[in-house]
Amino acid sequence: MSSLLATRQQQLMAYLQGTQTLDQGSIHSHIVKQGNVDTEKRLGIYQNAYQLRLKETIDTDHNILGLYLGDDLYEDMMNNFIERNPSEQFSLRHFADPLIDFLNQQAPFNEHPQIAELARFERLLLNAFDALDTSRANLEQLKTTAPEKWPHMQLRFHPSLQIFVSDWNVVNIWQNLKQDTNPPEPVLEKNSWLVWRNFERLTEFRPLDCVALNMLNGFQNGLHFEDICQALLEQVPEHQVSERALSVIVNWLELGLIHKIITEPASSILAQR
Amino acid sequence: MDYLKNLKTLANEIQPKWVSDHLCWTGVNQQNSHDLLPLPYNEEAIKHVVERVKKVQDYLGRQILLENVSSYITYSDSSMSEWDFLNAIAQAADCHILLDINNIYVSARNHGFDALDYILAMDKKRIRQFHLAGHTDYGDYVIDTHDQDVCDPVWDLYRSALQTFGPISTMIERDDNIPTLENLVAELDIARDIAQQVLTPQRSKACV
Repeated sequence: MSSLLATRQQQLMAYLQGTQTLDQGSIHSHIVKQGNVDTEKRLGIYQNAYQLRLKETIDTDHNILGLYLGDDLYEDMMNNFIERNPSEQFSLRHFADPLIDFLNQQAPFNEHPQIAELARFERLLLNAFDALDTSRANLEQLKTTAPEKWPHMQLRFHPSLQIFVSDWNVVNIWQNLKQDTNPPEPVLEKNSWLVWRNFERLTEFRPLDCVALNMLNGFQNGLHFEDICQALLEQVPEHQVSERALSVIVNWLELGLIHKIITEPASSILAQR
Repeated sequence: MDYLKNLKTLANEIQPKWVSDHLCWTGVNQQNSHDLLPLPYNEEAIKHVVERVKKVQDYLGRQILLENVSSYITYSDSSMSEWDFLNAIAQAADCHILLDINNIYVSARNHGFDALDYILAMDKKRIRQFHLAGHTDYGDYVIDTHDQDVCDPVWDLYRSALQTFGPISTMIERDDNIPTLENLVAELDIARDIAQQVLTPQRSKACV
């Protein structure tokens, strides 16, 4: 771009972002002096709005992270992140997507890995909140599935379903801060959580045990029920496998996690078209 | 093009009365300011915008509305008034106009022009909708915050706009500091009363 319009756009954008260069020239000399309000103040209105808008976005997305870091460190984090990550997003909804990487890479945040994990948990809550809506399978559909079709059964999950696997007690930290109480000390504590939007369209999360986590990963990777049960033999005594797998699926149906129960092999679905 | 494709799908799905966007720029070199930044009012910018409005209208298969934004700066590259700029674009692109009356007031205060001159200069046949909103007044300048009640001078301008353009669909915008529904409806009633006073009863019903 070499037009005058493009040059003015680049100059004003550089001013907003605080990245003006001598080569580029300042936008100031291309603004008309008017009335009692000087050029710096006029341009400052745009620069303040730019900073405020991006900070508000981070704060809306990461309110609990802000409480955890405290005002000064949170302000430093926002200023640094905004400076290093000019928005390339169409929507502010995704402006803070790179925050997790930023926290994993930048001191002092990277010296406390639970901080990036807490941010990751908050972004998963956002993803669950505004994921696409779709229908949910119910228990009746499972009950009416013919026994011979069970081995090939596959599951498709609700788009809001997120799996949060953490190395630290960040959900506990998040819960305490949410309730205005002091957060616990960070503790290495490997655990998994289900995050999703429930029937009432409220974002919900609950712990996910190893059996359910492995089943969920298996189904998400396209495995059939018989493959899932086979894999469960490593965790559950053989005579309990089907009962355990069934109880997990029933629980998911009751929570509204399953979008569709697929009982036809892909080839026969294609053949019907 | 993905954005336009999605917009066309959405428009087909919900069949809106109008599709509008602001006459401004938001980003450059793939970076987004997420703000409504003013353009210089000159022939180069007219050509730039008209080409794009035509492309959008051709793709959507419908005319769009362009809305005036509030501004705090005037570029030395500008060679005409904002109203001449908006009219010239609307005519060359054959699009409609959405007049944000609060934005006219805010820009008039910030740049020292008469808001009524703006309204009286607009191409009457292209106006399809009015927006009303509140702002924050700092004395020497005004910031368009869309988070306050509509103020009296903006109501006066609304009255003038109805007298000039006749019954035009009107919407009150509020982005933040949202009051109770009762207060919002009371504000809407002010707009209805003004329309009632300015227009004949039959015509005012279709307006607000």
